[in-house]
Amino acid sequence: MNDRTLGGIRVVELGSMVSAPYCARLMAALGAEVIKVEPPEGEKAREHGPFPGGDPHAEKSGLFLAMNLDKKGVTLDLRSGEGAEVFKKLIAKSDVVVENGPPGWLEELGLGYESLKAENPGLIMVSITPFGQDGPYRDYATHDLNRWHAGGWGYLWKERSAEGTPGRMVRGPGFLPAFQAAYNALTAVAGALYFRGMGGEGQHIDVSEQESMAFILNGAFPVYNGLNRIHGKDVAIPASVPSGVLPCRDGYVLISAIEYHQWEGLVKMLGEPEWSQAEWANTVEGRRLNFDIINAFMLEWLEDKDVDWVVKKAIEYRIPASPVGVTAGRIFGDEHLKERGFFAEIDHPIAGKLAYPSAPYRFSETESSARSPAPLLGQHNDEVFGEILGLEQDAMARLKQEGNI
Amino acid sequence: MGETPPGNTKGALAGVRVADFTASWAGPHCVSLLAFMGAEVIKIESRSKLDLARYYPPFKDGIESPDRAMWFAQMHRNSLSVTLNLREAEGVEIAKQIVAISDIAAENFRAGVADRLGLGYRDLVRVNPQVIMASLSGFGAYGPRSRWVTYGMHVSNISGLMGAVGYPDTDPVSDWVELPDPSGGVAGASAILAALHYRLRTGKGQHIDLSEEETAIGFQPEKLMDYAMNGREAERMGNRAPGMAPHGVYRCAGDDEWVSVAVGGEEEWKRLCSAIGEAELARDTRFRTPAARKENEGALDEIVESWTRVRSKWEVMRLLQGSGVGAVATFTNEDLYQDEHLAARGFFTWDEHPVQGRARMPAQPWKMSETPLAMTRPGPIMGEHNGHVLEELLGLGRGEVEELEGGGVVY
Repeated sequence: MNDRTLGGIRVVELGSMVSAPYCARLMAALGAEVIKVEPPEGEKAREHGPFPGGDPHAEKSGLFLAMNLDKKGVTLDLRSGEGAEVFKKLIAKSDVVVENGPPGWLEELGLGYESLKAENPGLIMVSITPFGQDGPYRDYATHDLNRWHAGGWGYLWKERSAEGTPGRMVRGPGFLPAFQAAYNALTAVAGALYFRGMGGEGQHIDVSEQESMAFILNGAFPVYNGLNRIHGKDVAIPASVPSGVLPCRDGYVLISAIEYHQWEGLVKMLGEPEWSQAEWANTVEGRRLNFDIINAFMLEWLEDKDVDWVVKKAIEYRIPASPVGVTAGRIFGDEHLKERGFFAEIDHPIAGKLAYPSAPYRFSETESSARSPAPLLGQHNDEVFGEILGLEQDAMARLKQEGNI
Repeated sequence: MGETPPGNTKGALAGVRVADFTASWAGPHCVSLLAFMGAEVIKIESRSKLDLARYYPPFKDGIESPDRAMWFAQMHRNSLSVTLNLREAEGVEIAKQIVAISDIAAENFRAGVADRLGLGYRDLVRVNPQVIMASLSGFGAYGPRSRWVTYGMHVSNISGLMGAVGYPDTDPVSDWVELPDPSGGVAGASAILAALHYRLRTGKGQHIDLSEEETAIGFQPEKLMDYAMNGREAERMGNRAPGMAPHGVYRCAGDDEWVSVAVGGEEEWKRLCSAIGEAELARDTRFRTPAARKENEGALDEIVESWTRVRSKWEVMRLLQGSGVGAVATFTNEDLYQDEHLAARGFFTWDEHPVQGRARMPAQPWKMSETPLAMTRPGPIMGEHNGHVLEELLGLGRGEVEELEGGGVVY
């Protein structure tokens, strides 16, 4: 167990859907022992899907399966006094709690950070919520889309025509604020573990999805401070030419020539057209002013070419480029990812064998790939309550009978 | 040389030192998180190959200069800067001496470049056997795509992150979406700190190979699992989401002002109907079930927007939140600066930069109860800490440093 990066660390997860579960899943991939505590009816992701054939089944939700690899699963009703007592026993034997319930919900159950700290003075707890643990919006009702807009990303992702004109706003793929917050939470917990390892206290960490997104707005704050501009509203974001999604014969390509040597490469790739020898072509500003000339030429040049051919060619000329609209099928079949062993094929007793993304890093000394499937509802009740907490058989039978586990 | 003020000495990472070879966004984002938590980050940079962020607009007062680059200053708060030309062998040697007294080294060169410079993991381990080295790259340190030149926006595409972003009736969306940079950055920071925890326990350092592409693939469970289970590809659906309606961005009063409204479940739907004074909507056969609402989503969107467009986005947010409906205004950068909630949480702090003056910047992606994040230094001007690092930490004499400056090594 100690040969893993986070070997010897026990994590209790009170999570649903994405933010806390993904944070804990990453810890599990790093070798922590993660015990996921679900209410007796299971957490929400079990109802979310996608499901095979579209038929809902608590053990077959694609979201649940992917977010909960490598964990042990127990059921416990924290709303019952006895369930709460068992939970405290578990906390006494753990290092970290990861949760994403609404602010204050654990305090209401008598299980707030201060109460848990009384059971375990070194406890590190991280709470991930849409707006944080305090402030006027803390109790706001939100869905994923709302958190995206709260974080200032609404104006950033828009349609853009080949001529560069911005169009309608568009949402990103689901749960990006939750994923960003999950990594923030993991980083903060790992920092807190180091601090504790150096003789410091345990602590409570407060992660907000809104702040997680606002923090990575890139130039939004400098643009306001320096130019007094509303980011994405009155600023056309592209700073180089060409930019935007350009049509090819069989799809779309994105090409960027930001640094001068990339521009030179582009000119060579295009066969050094006449306009490329003009004075204006030497400066970013000149190229921006003559956007129409460059763009028209590129559109014609790309018309009879395939996306993959263009990307390969561009990379040869050291110009960053990529195909647009990459599908799941293409990712699963990708040679690069295969060589890196990124997808782990894991067998689940009910959902069967499926390929899952591993963690995004390889450590030279320690393993970080996914090993075991998401837990069935209450799968590890006996192991966790019996072996780890040492509850007697009859005590467990009573908890079961009363519907607490 | 001036006095170097102490960093965040109460931070969780006080006493940890980072030799920072990173540039542009992913790498600096990664190490800045360590610096906010109190690590002493020494940025190793050079005029011989300027960090892209040093010449990225906007510039203070519009005057183009590395010390006036405002985004750079925001991203490098709490860091020290030392200027070393890594194209010179002596520059590499001194950089290795910095690694020798550090706990962590971080780089985001294109795969293979660190090795070529003599700053690969094998080189660094020789001067510091316990070093934790993190290499952040678009596609990872090995594999057929590892040598590709790229930017975050291309990783957004290649990872599939943007694969189904856009509207069904128009071109796909993908342009300057650099999300994999900060996501890869924070993933790198988390990996570094996990490795630091491991080293504390075992004494062993190690090398971390982080792929931004893989970070972004991890963000697509619904899309990937639906394909794995059903062979079905995700479709572009604008702002909509399966199983929920209304779910969109609606125009409000004012110029280009918007609000996001998302409703899930029967209770929330009924609350929406009464909040917008259309209680009979809930009985309208077009909208009676979730499936019906989905089917008539266009008509529903029109009803919702006819209500939002005569109100400010703040009024819409307040009224709908008052009824427990998921509605949040589309925040601009200015809105975030003026937001009472973020102000109450102390999200922004003032920064006092010697060249750029005072500016308000986002300070905290999270809060820690015992070891608060703190901004103790503005983004460094180039080579600001050459004296501190080269003379005080490495023990070079003033004369030696002058010679290195003359020879273009400290540059």
